Amino acid sequence: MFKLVLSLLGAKTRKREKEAGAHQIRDSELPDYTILIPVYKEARVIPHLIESIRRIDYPKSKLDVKILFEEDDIETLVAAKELKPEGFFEFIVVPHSFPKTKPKACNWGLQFARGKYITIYDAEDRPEPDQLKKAISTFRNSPPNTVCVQARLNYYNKYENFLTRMFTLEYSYWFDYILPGLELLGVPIPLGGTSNHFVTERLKEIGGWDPFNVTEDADLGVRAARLGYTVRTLDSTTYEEATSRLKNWINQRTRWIKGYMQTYAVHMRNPFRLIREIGLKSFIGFQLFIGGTPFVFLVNPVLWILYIVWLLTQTRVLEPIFPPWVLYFSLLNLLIGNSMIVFMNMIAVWRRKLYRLTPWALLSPFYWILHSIAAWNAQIQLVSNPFYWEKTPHGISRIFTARKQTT
Amino acid sequence: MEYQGYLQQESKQRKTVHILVFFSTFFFYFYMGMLAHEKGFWGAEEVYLGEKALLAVRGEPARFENIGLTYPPFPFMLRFLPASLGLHPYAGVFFSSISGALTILVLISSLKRSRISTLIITPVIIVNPLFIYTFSSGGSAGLFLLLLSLFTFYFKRFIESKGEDSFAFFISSLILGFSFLIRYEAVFFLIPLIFTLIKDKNRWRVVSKLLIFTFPSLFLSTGWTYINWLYKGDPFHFIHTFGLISFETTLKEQKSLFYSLALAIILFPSYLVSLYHVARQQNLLILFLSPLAVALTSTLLLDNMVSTSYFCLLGSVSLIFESNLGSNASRYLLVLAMIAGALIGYTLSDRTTWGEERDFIKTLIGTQKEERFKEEKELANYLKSLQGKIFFDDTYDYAVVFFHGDPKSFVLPYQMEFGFYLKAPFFIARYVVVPHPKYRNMINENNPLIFPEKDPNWELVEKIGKWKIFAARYRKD
Repeated sequence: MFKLVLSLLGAKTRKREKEAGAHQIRDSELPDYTILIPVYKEARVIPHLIESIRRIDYPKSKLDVKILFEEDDIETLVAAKELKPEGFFEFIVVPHSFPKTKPKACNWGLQFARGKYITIYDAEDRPEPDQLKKAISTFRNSPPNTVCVQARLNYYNKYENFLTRMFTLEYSYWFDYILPGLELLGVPIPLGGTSNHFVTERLKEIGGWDPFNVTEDADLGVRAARLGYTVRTLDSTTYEEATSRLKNWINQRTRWIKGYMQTYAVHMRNPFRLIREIGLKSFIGFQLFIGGTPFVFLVNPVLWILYIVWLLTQTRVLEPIFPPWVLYFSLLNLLIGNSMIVFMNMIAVWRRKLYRLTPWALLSPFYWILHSIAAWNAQIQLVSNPFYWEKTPHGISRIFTARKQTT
Repeated sequence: MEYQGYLQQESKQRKTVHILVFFSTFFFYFYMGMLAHEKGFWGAEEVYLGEKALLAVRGEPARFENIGLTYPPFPFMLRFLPASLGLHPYAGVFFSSISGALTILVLISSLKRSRISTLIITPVIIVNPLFIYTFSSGGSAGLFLLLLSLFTFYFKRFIESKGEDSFAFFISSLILGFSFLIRYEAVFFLIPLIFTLIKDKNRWRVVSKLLIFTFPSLFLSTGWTYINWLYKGDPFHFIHTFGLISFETTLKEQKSLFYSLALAIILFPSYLVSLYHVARQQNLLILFLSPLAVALTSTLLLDNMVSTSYFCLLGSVSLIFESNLGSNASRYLLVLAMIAGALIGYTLSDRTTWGEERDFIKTLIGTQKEERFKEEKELANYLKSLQGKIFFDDTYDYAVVFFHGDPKSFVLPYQMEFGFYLKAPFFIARYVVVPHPKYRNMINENNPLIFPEKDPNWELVEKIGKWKIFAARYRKD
């Protein structure tokens, strides 16, 4: 129900005029802008990265691009140097220490940032060229307590296989409907991994990223809300590479779900304080989104198995633990809840005119099985290896390879 | 800034007008419904829904499936809370009136010149006798009309946006799907409207539109067949038993659909005014004509004629398309047509094909002599004075349980015990109530000697209308 309400609200939002006015800002009025790009073992993607940044429509003299290399990743550093990029690119080597995570690298880069605004991109990202200008325009038209604007994420290899199609459906739904819905409701927005644009000073005030959290972005969104800051959405898209291999997908999703678990555990240490700081409405949103997401994925397989056993055997053994009211709620969820989520996935692609993906939404239940596998993986890892960062390899998409060969 | 302030003030004014319209409409319809009750009018569907809700929340055992799973579930579900609070006699009118108030809001929101039109059109719509019947008689027609009006409002917006307004498409598909849970004939809207979606050069866009449009209707109807299978062992139980209790007159018994339709158009001449202006735009025309197509399809397929109140949708649709009227003259003509329709409605109130509509209007204007469910009320009052369980078949006499108000006093067909003891009810009940054998009744069919007073186990204690009430001779609990 909550997702349905969010989707309806999200569907109602239109392209905002304030962002449309981004091009009216004169170059002389634009402030310095820092872009942090943490990379690790991504030599293959480096040329693509440099090219994407060059395409950004922003005065180059005001760009402060910092590519963050890990100390042990000589190969990527060499690949970048060989390209001899322009002066606004700066290479920073992050000293080797633990935890070896992306947020730790970003924190290292943050201390050298000279821009009034700062954003994070991944190595394989392709932001829309006017994104920085739109971000500034959004900041200027937002309430003064706005700390971050989150751009929409989507994929350029959407039609590659089942995984990339489902990933695109999921991201389109998340960024085009759910996040604008959350924004309208005034509930904290869990930030996406990249393309979040901050006011540098405020980001420093919040304390940067939690280096131990493997979804540092989600955690940062909640921390900002606790300090009274708001996050807004930005009507500009960054295209990424959807992971197209099952093992990589499971690893990436394991990390994300583990991060949600960490974020939930960290902020729920003192629930009353959390309510006091973010308010009841946001607290409920936090429970449903940050807590609810891993919980649902963990519980799903248990309920599916129970249901299949009942369907095949018609056993009455389970009746004592399922009083009628539980049964009615379960029935409602089975019939309405699941179908509604499939339906919302169908509509998700409408805004981007990706009509070919609509039928794929019918396969969502199979995609949910993968989520549950990742959730159990995450649960085990949370105990056995809580700060381990499952690195997602990029540059393996067929589309990426083809483009590389062409260029 | 000045313009912003003006806009804010206008939006505030509109909000105030809407709140006023909502409450005044609600109280008007609620008052009319309660007045009709006071004068002895009770709608058959209102009573049926109320009784099943009582069984579901206060039966023995209280279970969802006590609603019978024959008719769409949502109107029953709305009554659960009032039934559990003992407010079931007022629930039907309450929900009808809410639906009425919301429908009027939808209609005035779709008017182009809202402020002037609101003042003129709102009272004209409200006092139309068919609208009064639909929104005050306590059945599910009001809710159905609300959803169909909302659907038309959003689907029209989607067509006019040339497929850009995803919110309107999203919500209209959902509303249409949900309407199936109120009246089955809602699925027939899919058929004509699909034609508005397929005319598109982009093949994938057509596939996408068709999937999104039909999916809610499909998943909700599939869900309903699943529930039927789960509780009744037959996924199509609702189709097999549909029409068991007929709230609407069948074609065989009454005049033709075309008579009903002609009457509806006479009552809503505004439909013809709007039709003239919509006729040139193909997709809008299909949407505009779809209520007629649905009436025809459901009549032919279900052999069950829609009541004249269904054609209130013609009135709704003509107002929703008001913004498409080319000139102010047409708008005034529309208002005049609405006024004429309301006046004709009162003069033709006894010509409707559906007896209940006729009785309702006659009750309100004071020409109705017969009180509806009078005997059922008498029987229910008598049964309240008895101590001990009453064996009773409520399949057709549901009104007795409704007016009695306590299903726990009865042994009824929804209970497993009813089947077990049908041939010897004295093992479980102190009393049995049987109607005259000319009425269909399971107790009579299994115990033909009771009614003629030839069964030595039963002793006659009272006769009320068509019923005889017997006490078990050898049972003294």
